[in-house]
Amino acid sequence: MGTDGILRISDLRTHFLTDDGEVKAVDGINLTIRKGESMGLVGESGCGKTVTAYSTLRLVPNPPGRIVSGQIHFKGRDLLKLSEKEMRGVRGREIAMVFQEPASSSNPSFTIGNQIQEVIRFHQGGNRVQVRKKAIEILDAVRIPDPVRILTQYPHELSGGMLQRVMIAIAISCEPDLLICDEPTTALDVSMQAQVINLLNDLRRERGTSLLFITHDLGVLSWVCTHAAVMYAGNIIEQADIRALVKNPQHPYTSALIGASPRLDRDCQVLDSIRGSVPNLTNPPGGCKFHPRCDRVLPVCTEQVPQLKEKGDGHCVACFADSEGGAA
Amino acid sequence: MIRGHQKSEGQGHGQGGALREFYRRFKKQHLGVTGAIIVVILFLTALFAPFLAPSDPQRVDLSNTLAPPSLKHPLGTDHLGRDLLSRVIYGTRIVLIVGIGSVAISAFFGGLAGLCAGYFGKTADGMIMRCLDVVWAFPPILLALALVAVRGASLSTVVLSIAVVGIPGHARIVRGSVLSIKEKTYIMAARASGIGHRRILFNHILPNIVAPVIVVSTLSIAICIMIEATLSFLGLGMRPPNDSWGFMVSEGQKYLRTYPYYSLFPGIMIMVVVFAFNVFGDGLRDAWDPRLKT
Amino acid sequence: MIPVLFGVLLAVFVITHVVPGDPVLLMLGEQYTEKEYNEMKVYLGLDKPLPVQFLNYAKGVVTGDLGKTIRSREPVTGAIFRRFPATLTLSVVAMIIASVVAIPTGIVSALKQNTKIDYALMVFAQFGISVPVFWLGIILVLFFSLYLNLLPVGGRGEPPDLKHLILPAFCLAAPFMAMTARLTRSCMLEVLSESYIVAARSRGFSEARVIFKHALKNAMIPVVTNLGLQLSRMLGGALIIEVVFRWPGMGELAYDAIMERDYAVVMGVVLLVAVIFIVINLLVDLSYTLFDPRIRYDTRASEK
Repeated sequence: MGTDGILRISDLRTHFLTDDGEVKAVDGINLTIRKGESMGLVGESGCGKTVTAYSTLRLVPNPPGRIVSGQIHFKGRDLLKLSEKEMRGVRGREIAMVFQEPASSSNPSFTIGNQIQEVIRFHQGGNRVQVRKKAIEILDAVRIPDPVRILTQYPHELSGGMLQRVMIAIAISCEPDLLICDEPTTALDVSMQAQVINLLNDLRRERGTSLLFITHDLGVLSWVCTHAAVMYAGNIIEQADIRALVKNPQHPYTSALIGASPRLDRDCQVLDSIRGSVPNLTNPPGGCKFHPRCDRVLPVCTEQVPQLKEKGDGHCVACFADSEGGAA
Repeated sequence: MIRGHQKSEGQGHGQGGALREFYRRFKKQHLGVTGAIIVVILFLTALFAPFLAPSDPQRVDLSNTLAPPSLKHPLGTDHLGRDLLSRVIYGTRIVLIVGIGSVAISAFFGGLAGLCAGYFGKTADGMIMRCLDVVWAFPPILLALALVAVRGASLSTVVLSIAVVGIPGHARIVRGSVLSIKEKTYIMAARASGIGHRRILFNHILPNIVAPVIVVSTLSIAICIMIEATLSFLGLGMRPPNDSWGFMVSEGQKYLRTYPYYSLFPGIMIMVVVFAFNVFGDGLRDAWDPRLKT
Repeated sequence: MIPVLFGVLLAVFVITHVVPGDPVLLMLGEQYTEKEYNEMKVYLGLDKPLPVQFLNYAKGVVTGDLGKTIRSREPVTGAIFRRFPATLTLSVVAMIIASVVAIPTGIVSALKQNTKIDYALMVFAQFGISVPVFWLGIILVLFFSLYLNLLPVGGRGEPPDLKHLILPAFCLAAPFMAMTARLTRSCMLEVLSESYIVAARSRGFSEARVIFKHALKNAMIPVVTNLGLQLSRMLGGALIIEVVFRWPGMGELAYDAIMERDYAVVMGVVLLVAVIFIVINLLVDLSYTLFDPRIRYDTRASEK
């Protein structure tokens, strides 16, 4: 974990107070994203990926959630120590976010033009002509055909793929250093997915924007990301560059995830499934949270929590029984 | 792709578990529980009125009219010397009979109409809803008033008039529920496998409309009590010996300046009871489906 | 809408003819001859078969003839419309009072959800719905008129003034105020939990902008359309208020007519209010297309 990261999350813990107890949605994670990198955050539903994203922007609804402890260093500043006013200066301008469902993350009562121009005017100022010009430029950048007409339309009049590109346009309109994407392609069908993913890749290359890309789809992950972190029950259990992760997974959960993905280049008769189910986050299993479902479980796994340790070349894993055998 | 995961625990098995879960959630609604308690007290008061009332509510005592509250007459006496507390206590009977009676009729006929409209759809739906729209167009109090006025005020006409006013509301709720259940794929699956209408209605649809009907009925009782009180206040509802709080309020109007208790206490009772049914109904609704919580 | 209007007309007609007692006798009074009886019967159109009577009635309604009052033999229509402005004033003022108080209350409650303020406001609103309006009127009269002597006991004032208007308008407003506050609160809460609100925050907008520009516009749609419906319901609920405060409106007219068994007047008022309700409903449905860009009007009016 280098110290030249544009985003450095240290020991972040975000908990939610529910009727059934305190849910440790994010239970001490460390994550570093360098400039120009595209970091994927992958895991099953409920593992804490979205909460991590919200925590970075301090958008966790309070109540019932709150960031209990940790640090989030962004360009040298700890975001968790900023005042709300300072944080608002970061949102939208230095860190922006794209959400999963474009239809529900856009305001149905305002035109696209209104929504884009509002952001531009808010962060960059300018008179009506200038703002409108910038709006059209940014729509062009996300490859929207006929941007002038789009400005007058309402969100429900656009297709999912087009609307998501508009949402991306709004997000990058102020040239943020970090773009957080929370499963931006999950709600789209395959052809639209391709458009959005290609767009994100190009934007990253052209503008040097770093990406935090959340997904549960390994295929999309390997297409968009340079690096990836695997989350399970609120912890990051493995982290590496994307090729190393897919070719040489160390953690049993990562191997299982990969094994459970159908692939066209492999003959699969039966997909491996992971036995058991995701643990209860108010009362997780002792020791390694994955141990009840693990094939390589050792006695130490039930007692101690494995820490994330580097195996070389930036490949980190938190496991006592990784493929090199035994604790490192 | 690995998607989702099952909820680990918390959901009970079948109906028993759902009921226990519901009860647990209801207990948390402090306001709703308060309402429920008041409703229970109301029932008990109505049931045991003869034992609870200090004296015969109709016993006239012209030597002791409009007496201020005292130990013998905790709420005072009215213009004929009758004990106000006893009258108020016996009034609980009217409140419950009219409230529950009219809602029961409303719920039955309205529910039936909504069921047919929702389930059989198309022409049946159109016709039934048009008829109900006609009833719905009249303001409730005005309609009840007009109905009672032409038929004369008696217990049955009052109950029936208020029931008529409530039918569209119940029909609408049931129809809505039926429509949303009908859309569910398991119903289409059942139809596709040839199960007849009656089985579907009884086994699938009816159990799912029970809850909304109970919630709406509880809230309706509050409305019906209010309408009855209004009718009685206007002189077109219940009169002694069927004592109604609304009527007592109107009787007390004449003596307001010097003896406000006559109008004051029955009015407070109306408010408390309507409040109780309202919060009880709200509590039921929030406990049954927390997603609808307001 | 047309079939419903027709149905309303039919219902009113049926109710009128279920009246016990002979309407001819009511018009004639104490002494009459058989000749006068038959003449009156023809005059009232009662010698014709029922369906024809209905058609005549319908024709009359459409041309504005609602029959004659018993007391003074003057046209019912005129009597009602003379009283209409008073009821309208009362309802509109009540509506304004209700909205001005309820909407901000609902918004504050939603923003401070689950705090003591929210709880207190909502319990207060709950009482507002539960209080019997006639009783509230009496109690307020007791305080402000009889004890404090600040406000008049009833009537509209000659010429109509504010002092006479306050208490009745407030009483009429009370339950609607409470309902609107609750509705505003729940609409606001629902909108605030939407994704586009989080998205707006993620763009760095101030909380004030998020609430007042992004949330409010969407939350107010159901609230404002509901106001229209409430106005029409108020016209009916005004009856009780008018009786308690002796306010010279349609409601008081209808009540006196009920007491005098003047059913033509009663039904005239009922008919008018029902028609207004239907019309307002239609306008509200149409207004949805103005407010919410997603909805385009289609003809399934029963899909409420």
